[in-house]
Amino acid sequence: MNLAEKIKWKIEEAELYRNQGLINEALDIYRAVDAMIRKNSRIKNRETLLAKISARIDLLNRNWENLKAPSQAPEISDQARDLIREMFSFDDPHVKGSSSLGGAVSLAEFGQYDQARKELESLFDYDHLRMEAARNILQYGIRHLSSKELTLVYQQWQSDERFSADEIKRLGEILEQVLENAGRKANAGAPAAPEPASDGSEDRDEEVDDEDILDISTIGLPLPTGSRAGEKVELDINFQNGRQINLVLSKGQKEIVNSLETGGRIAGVIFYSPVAIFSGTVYVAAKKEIGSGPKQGDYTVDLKILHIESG
Amino acid sequence: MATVNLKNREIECKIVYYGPGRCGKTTNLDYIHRTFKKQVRGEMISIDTDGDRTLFFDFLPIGLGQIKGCDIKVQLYTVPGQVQYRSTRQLVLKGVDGIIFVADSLKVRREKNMESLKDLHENLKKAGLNILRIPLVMQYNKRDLEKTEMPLMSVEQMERDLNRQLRVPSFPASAVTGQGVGATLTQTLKKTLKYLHKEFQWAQE
Repeated sequence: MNLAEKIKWKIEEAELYRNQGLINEALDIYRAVDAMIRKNSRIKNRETLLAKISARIDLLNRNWENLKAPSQAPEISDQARDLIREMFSFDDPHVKGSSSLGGAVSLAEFGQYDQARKELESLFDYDHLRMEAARNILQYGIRHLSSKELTLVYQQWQSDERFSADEIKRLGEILEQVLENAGRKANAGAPAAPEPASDGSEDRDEEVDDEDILDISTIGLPLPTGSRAGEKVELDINFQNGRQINLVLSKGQKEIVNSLETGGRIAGVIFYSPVAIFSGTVYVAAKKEIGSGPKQGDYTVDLKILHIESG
Repeated sequence: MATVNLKNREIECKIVYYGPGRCGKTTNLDYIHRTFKKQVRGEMISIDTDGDRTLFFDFLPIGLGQIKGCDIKVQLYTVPGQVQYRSTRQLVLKGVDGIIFVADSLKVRREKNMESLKDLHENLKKAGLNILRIPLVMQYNKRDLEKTEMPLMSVEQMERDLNRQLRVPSFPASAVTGQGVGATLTQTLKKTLKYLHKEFQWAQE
């Protein structure tokens, strides 16, 4: 395939990804094509081609930025709203009015806070639902209202005769807790903080037990030494027993074998398992050339997983 | 969890299409909506963004009629695939009875498939469910692109990546043309109803 054909092929590939909505993947290809053309000054219509590709990259960049931007909860149809109320309400069938409460909470879960608040406020007339409804208004309100606005909501309840003094006191404590959990102070007029990350993961290393290790199919190994040092190669696992893994590398992969030093540690290894991808550090336990059999001349490498990184 | 009313002989269960962004979950539902008109019991509801990406979920109710003396109703859902909508995926998974994992056959999406399967595993765990026990079927979507010579993974490669440990039924498919869509759903329904029979002994001999 000559250069012109290669460029044409790459552009077709990028356009396929763009049509599939895979913006990042399309961007990667266009950037590679851009670099390819810049390296070759003898390409016909080089400047026109570069301008076209640059325009495409700009457009895709804008699309990507829009996609990454936090989306506001959309206005949804009454039909969709009813569906959320009905299908995502996990209420207690033994408590009267509980389905209304559950439905309103479901709306709040899906970001329909204004509607949810209206429906929750309508439950204040019921003694057994009032506190739960008010608590949900505060708890979901923190995602949509400033501290000042949320405090104002609470202050309005203070003059609402349906709430007892005890209930107002308890709601005051809940408000304080909600603000504190969001890293805000009561009565402060600070702008709304973003919703905390939902996965709650933190970077930390984990000690490895054999039982903790999933079935690994492939590893991404950064080569520690040699002319290809730093390059990540993907290698299939030949055999695994807990954290002990064995690779068989062909004669042609001698350079990779030479890059691995027995006793050395390699960090930043990616482990691909059918249900997870994780990274960690391995120890090169042994390596040797296979002396007999059908794989004679190939290499076997034993690695031991020392720790995995979560998050 | 399914609603099983043994007195009225009715079962309503929930199947969720899961998978990475742009893998074709909504296209699967669209195809079912257009093609299986006899089974479709209501409108398909989609809540998506301007860019045509699922924001909350898609929903399609279908009915299978009488099976072993029970009227079977099924709610089909999709989740939003984009990474940032994890909490929405957790909500949609609540009460799930069966899952179709739609994987993208494009080579460039290999890691996204694996990440999404990991996300499913974790979200099920959070919901008190086990990926190894829940009725699950794999669909390797976008096989129609084989004709275009675009870099696709082989079905064998996808099996190794995603299904080596799970060993669940899997189907090559093209949600755009409909190839494999019905087969994937049928197999999932069979597995789910079998699983529910174990739990509730609903089927009449």
